[in-house]
Amino acid sequence: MIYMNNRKKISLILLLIMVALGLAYSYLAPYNPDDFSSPPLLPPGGNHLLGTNNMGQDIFSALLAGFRITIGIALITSLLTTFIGTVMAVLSAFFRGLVDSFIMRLTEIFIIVPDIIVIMLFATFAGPKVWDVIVVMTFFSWSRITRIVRGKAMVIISQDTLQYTLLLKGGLANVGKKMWPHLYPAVVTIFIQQCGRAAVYESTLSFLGIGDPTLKSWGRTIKAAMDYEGIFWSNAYLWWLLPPLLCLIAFVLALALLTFDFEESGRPG
Amino acid sequence: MKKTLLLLLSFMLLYTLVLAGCTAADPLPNISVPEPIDERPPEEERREERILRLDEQNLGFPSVYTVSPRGRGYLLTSFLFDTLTWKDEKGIVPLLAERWEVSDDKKNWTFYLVKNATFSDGTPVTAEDVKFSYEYIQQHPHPWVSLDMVEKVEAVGEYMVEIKLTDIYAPFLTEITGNVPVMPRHIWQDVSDPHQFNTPEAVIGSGPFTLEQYDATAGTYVFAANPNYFLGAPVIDKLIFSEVSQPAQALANGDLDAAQRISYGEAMRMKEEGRFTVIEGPGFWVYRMYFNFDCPEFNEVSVRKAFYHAINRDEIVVKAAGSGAVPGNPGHIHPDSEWYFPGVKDYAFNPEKAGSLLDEADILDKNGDGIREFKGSPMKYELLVANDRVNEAEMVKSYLGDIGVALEIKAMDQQSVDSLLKEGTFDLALNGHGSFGGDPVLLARFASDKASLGSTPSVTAQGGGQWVDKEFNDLFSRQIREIDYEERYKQVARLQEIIAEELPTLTLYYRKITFAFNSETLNGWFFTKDGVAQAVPTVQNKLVYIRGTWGR
Amino acid sequence: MILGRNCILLVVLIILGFLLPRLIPGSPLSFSGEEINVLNLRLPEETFNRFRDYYVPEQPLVRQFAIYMSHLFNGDWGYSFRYGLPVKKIIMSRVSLTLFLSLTSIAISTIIAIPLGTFLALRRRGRGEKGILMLLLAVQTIPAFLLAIICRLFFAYNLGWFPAFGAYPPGMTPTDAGFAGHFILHAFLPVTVLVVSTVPPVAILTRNVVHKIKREPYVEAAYYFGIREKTIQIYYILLNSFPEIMGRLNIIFLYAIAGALFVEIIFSYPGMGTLMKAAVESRDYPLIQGIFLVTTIYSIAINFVFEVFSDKINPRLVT
Repeated sequence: MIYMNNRKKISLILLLIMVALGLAYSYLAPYNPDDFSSPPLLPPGGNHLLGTNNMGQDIFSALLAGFRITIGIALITSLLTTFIGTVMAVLSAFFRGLVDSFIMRLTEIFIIVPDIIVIMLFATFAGPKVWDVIVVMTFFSWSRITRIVRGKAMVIISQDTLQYTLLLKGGLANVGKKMWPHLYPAVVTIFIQQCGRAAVYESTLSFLGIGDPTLKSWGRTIKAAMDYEGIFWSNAYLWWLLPPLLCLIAFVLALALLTFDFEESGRPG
Repeated sequence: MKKTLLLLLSFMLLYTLVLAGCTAADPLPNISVPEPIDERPPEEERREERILRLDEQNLGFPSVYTVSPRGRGYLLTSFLFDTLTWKDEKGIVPLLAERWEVSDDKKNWTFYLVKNATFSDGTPVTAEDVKFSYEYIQQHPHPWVSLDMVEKVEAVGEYMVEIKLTDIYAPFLTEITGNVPVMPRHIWQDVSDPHQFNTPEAVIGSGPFTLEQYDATAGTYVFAANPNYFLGAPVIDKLIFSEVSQPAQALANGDLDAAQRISYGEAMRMKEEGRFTVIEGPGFWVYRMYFNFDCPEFNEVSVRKAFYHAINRDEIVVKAAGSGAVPGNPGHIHPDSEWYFPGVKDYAFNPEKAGSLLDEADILDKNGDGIREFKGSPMKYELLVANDRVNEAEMVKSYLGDIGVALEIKAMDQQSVDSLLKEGTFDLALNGHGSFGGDPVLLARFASDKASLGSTPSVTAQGGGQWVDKEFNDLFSRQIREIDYEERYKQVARLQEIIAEELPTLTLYYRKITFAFNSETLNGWFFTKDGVAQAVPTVQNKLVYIRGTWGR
Repeated sequence: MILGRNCILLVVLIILGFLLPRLIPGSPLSFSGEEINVLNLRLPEETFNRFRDYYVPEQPLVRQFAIYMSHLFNGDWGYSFRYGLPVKKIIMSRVSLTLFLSLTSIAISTIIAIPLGTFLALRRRGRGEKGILMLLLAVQTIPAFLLAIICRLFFAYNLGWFPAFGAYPPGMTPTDAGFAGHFILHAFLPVTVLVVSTVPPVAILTRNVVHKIKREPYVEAAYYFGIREKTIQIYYILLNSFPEIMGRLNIIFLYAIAGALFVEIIFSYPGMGTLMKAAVESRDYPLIQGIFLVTTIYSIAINFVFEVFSDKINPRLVT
């Protein structure tokens, strides 16, 4: 297992708590975050831990929902992206030659086309379902991973054990199985980094108004708070805007700290 | 080392090249119109230049055909081009036509033009220009006015025009002569593709302003006062419109002198603070629910009535519209309109009543899953909404959920919503639009008989199956030909009764309109009766710039 | 070799630019006949005809492609619905402003980030260095749009030090006196936000790369042989970390146009970002296609330049 120092332990614990909150959300939330029956713009206290928004919805429940939704989207997108990216990289390293150069050219195209422009295009035209956004984000993110993992896979495949497997006419599955233990640390690191990136992407798209508008992700809550014209007229921003903002930053920062090495030369990004 | 240096040098070179391209060449497509000759009377005492800065969207080059087809785009061209008639806060006023007559059969209109109006290139405005403009718009369809009912336009004398209609058209003065821009014939007669006509000549009109500059990149319009305007020179020297993301803040910071695109909450706060003058007017802008009449269940009037009873319009106004609206009236017409009929059937918020209405119609939840079934299929629908009004949709979803109708919100950009509505590709939809105040010709959107005269801007149209009511159709085409106000009001009142009884649409609210300005600059803003031109809900009436006063 | 590859890329992307608007569901190019109604208001017949003349949606795909290619070669990018101006003209007027923003901020960020990263790597012992690194990491996690909003709020609205929107005061032209000053003042906040969001990744990367190379046997050997510290730092470490840092800069340059997107939108800076947003909102197909083409051509050019340079600097990197 990867060596853990205190900082990483704290990050990991924090992340586990966040994921747990996301899982237990339906038991913890005092209200349905869509329920607008309370009076609007209540300050914190009493029945509403973080007050209510301009619609009369409980902000604390929306914040809790964000743990499930934002983290869920980040995990699913990252999982899909990492999986596709790794498979492409392994294919590239295994077949080499034409397949390799084809996949490499493909990744080049994806890297050259500015993803955010194409994501904006697709997301506005394809429809506002959360799955559309996940698919679009995955489709335009896997190429970075392929490029990183392919380099590692190339080194690993030239090692003796794998060369034997190849000599014994081992198929793709065999080679993949043999490669996995060597690739695994790098892939896990990439997975974690990709999670952070997906969370930021999701909040950015939400802020631009792309994606499912009824989903209570942190990005949506931030957007709703910023859209309310009076957010800075009173202290409302303290309990409406700041909590989702801090949760988002804490989540992404914890992910970054988990993979970043002060002593060794980790390579985020 | 040398290579590194070379590399760095090349980058700097590349960078300076780009910079040079930015600044030296100045590729911004400023369409600067050279001011003809400064003819400002020199004897007038030298005062500081009066510049008024306002926020506006980038609406394209402000010539007749190149500007955005939205109402606000039309208003920009109205600063440059005049019409025969116009409106102020009280109603129709003369503009290029100083007076007019109509024949007994109400089909022949004679307009007498003012004699001192000139285009900004110095040529006088004559009857030939008016005749030419009407014929030009008939040949080159304009998104804002349709001249189907105009049979012939004749220039009788140099300053006299006769317009012959195919049939009586009651709103002729507001909807037609108040909207058709008079273009100089000597310029436009050679223009075959007006949509590409964006040279300085394309903005030569007789209006109170001339276009000094349009920066297509930044979305900035600079209008200069036309000192020779036939109603007198404007009180301001320059009118600047620019695209601003947060007008209320920009006004507070002194980047603007007046702000139009502000929310109701912002306006109320500014009013409280007292730094700026805030005025509030009737918003001829309606937010309503559309039914797709291709779905058999929405043809059941009891379903539509149940929905209306289930929706709490007052709560929507408070929570989703931030109190910046007036709850909707079942008869559709705005309560501030002179055509409003208060005696229509009302639908108070009453979920129990809504439920029992559905029960009576035998639309029950037979399988006990919380969703009612209509003839065996569950009442599950997509609710189409523009993505800046999701709050409204969320509330409607919850209200209808309470009476056993399941909605799924489908939020899209405004353009897509409009086009899906138009194609009829939706189940239920929430949408809002202007072009709503003023003449009851707006009720044409509920008349299924399209042969009847009159049109509403097509942005409000709905595709797919139509709500059909023969009495409504007949009455509609009767009232559009009715000249007597009292008689026409009775017919329009009956139309409202039919709408309230039949509910072809659920009117949810009317948005209020606000405007904030610095009273040290221009004063005298007013809200035009029934909205400027074809019911554009704004203060941007060019008469303000003529009649207003400067400073406190 | 490099040129050839980039040419192929260009061709592929041009084909993609052709297919994209035809693949996206809901595009008017897949609608039939009279129902094409892009602005969803009654589209004037002339505009509609121009749209049809340009895209010829009724022709077979191959023919459409041939027409598309001939338009490209003739420099005819169509006519924007929203602005009523040729697409090329609009884009050309905007792209320089965006490049000005991004290139200025990239230049400033590089000047700050590379020395900072090197410093952190070469003497990272104390708490101070660790603190800086933590700060960089934290800043890196804040999405750029949030940074922009916070900056606008404090420096433009609360303090009123800088203008909050636009590239220059409305109505001003470059020939007016004091234009340059206003121009710089307007660009200050957007550039600052871009710099703040670009410095952390570059600095962290530089630090990691330099740190890694510092541990390489040949550097350790150099230390062992007692070669002057300065010489080692410059000739052994810095020069060798250059290729990897260049790789990162390559990516940042590639995204120069897209990277300024959010910042432009929030500061209403009239560059490609705001243009993109407007084009997507009003479904201005010719404009969207034009923006796509310009950004890809720009990216390929940058890619080409970088490949040529990295080839010159370090030929063994080319695989």
